[in-house]
Amino acid sequence: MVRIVGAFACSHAPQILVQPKVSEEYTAQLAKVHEALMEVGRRISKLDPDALIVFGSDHIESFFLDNYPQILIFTGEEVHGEMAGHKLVAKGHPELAKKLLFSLVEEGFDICFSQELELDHPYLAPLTWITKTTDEVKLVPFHINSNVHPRPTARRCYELGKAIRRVLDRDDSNERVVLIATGGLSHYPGTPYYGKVDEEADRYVIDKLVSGRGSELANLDAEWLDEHGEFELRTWITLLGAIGDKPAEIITYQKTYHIGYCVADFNLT
Amino acid sequence: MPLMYGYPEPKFYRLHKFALQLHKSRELREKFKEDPESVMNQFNLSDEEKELVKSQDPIKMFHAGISPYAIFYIVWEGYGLITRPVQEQMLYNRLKEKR
Repeated sequence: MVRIVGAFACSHAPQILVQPKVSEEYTAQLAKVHEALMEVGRRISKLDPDALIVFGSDHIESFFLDNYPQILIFTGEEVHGEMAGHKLVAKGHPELAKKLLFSLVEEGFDICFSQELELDHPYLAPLTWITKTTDEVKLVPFHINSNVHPRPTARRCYELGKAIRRVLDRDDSNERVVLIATGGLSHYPGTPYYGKVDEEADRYVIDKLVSGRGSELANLDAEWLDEHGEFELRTWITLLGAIGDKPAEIITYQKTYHIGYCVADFNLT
Repeated sequence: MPLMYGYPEPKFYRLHKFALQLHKSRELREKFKEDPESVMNQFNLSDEEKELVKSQDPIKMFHAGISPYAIFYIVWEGYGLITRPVQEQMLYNRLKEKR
């Protein structure tokens, strides 16, 4: 079987890389996010994985309305992207990704694939910091549509995660993978609510994660997720489906002027 | 509350396409600053789309059904709201003042 040896979730706001000079307070908050992401990198290094499977969500950036996938796995040989002067190039894991693609279709998830993908901030913002403190590792980006309706339901994301776990469990290799979900927490980019951060909703989500009741997040509906700025939880919920109800450690939570930054590590033992 | 990140209607397809290119190309942003009309014509924007873009009004665009990300690309990046103090960028403040 392919063992899931680690699972992390983190925000991916572009500001993590762009680092706008807004205030001393904000700079200090971002520094804590950076330190948390590098801590994730150090923990990943100790886990010695063969690949990172990274659940992210496009923002009409890598994909456009001419061809917009609900769920897509990257099956190519190399991933690359550039943002705010930071360039990321990494090997993909075409064998593992192909097995996931084929087996998930068998499982009833008719997912799309891409063999060439220009990564954008949902991957680059956190991974640029995480990979500062990890050895070179293969990346398998995995897009879950969270930003263009209609989007997969939270329940469907959870079921997808469970299917991913079944596929990994019955695989005959002895590889080790780490799962990372990116996005959230509460924020409202581009809307009249930009600048609102629903801390109460963030605390609700964090409480579920810390107490090992993440599966309950699969009950949330699209209206609740949008209203509370939590629509990108779809990637987190997919990850939760794969690991089950495991308690999270919150490495950092920073409520800023535009988003609730959160970095979490799930205890899988 | 209706969904924030709704389905982009096809009648605004060109506007969304224009927004993405604005986001991706510094050259196009420069050109747009100098001559917005010609850039909008280049993307064959309809009169309705042109009016929305020219309004520079993110809230109006939102209520018309433009994707918030396209709004970000047009208003924040194209018209430079991103370079303004964050208090101005925080549209929620305006909403709160109105109440």
